Amino acid sequence: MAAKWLAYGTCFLATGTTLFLLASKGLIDIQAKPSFKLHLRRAILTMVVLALLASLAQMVVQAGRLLDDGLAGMVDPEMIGIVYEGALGNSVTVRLIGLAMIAVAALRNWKYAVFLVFAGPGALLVATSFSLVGHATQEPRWLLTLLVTIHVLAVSFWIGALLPLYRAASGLLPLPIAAHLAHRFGQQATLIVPLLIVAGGVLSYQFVGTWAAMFTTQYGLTLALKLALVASLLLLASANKFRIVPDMLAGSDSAARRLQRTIRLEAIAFMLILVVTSVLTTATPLPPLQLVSQ
Amino acid sequence: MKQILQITLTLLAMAAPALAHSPLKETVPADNAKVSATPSAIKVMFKKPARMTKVMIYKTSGEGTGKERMAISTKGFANEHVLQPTMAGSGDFKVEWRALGQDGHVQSGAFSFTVNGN
Repeated sequence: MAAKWLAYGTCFLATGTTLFLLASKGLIDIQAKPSFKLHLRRAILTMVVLALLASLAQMVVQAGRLLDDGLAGMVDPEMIGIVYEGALGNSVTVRLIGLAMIAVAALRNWKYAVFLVFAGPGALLVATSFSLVGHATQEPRWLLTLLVTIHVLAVSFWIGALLPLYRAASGLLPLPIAAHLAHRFGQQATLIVPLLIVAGGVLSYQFVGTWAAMFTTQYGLTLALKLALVASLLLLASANKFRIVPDMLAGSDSAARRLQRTIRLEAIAFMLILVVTSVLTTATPLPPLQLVSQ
Repeated sequence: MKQILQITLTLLAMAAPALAHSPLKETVPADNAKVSATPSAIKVMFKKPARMTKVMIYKTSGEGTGKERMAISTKGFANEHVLQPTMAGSGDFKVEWRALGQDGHVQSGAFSFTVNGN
């Protein structure tokens, strides 16, 4: 489960920071110092490498569990072969192709069009890979695939914005540009966050089905915990958008420090949310069908 | 950071009693069944197709106790898996299995049966 958590975190960071660069094209390329973009590109490459390792670790851990929870299965070619041929193998294959494209996009300071050609499909592949394994592989499959992909893209965009905004607010960028960047992210988030919540909501409905199941099954209760964490995240985000960023736009240096503090808290909330998500997608059976159909 | 670690560990501990309902439809012999002779085949039937990866049979009482890894004849995903027992004679048997579901989740379980010699 730890490997999965790490895979989630690193994939979302790599994909998301890439998406952030895609979405803030003019601002970063024209107004920011080249060193800022270089810093972000290096962060993306680091996350790609960690995501690669975490994904391979997921496969090795699963091979171990297929044999006997010990180390023997982790090095058993037959078990590794079975994992590779299975759903996780498919997912990781697609994910690695996506990560490779993101790596190419981040490798050099490409023209925007070149960056877009590699980064766009790369991010889409990484996001889609998460729908190829787990509960989303059941029916109605096309709907679940679409929802998981949208959910992952949206959450990546949010997580991936944290590092650039944090660094921007730390003085790496002049205050007006940092404020502008954060303001623009806030505007984009008013579109992305509802998308994230709607996709998550429909997925939850597909998986849980009833209010009864929400409060009587292990899956439902774990999901409720996730929602509570998400609610606290939304509070932090709205503080940023409606209080701190306007202060930054008005030229307040202390607001930049406050932004850094709330971003740190957001990062902690995201880490916890991803832990709960790993538990949900690994160890928690979906509510049984009879509960859903009641 | 300590608190976060504590919460993380609590959550991961919560996940332990997870394998609540069995992915199996039925087994032959059934769990806790008493049969009169060593079955010529052990059947494991899944609700959804699964790929078996390891099946151990333990003989825990009677003559010739021991354990053996059973050969898995069906290499792909299937609802029904038929295994040839390698141990015979009266006594208590336990079968432990592991499989991969089509959704990529690892499944595992066990069932027991008793062979009465007469």
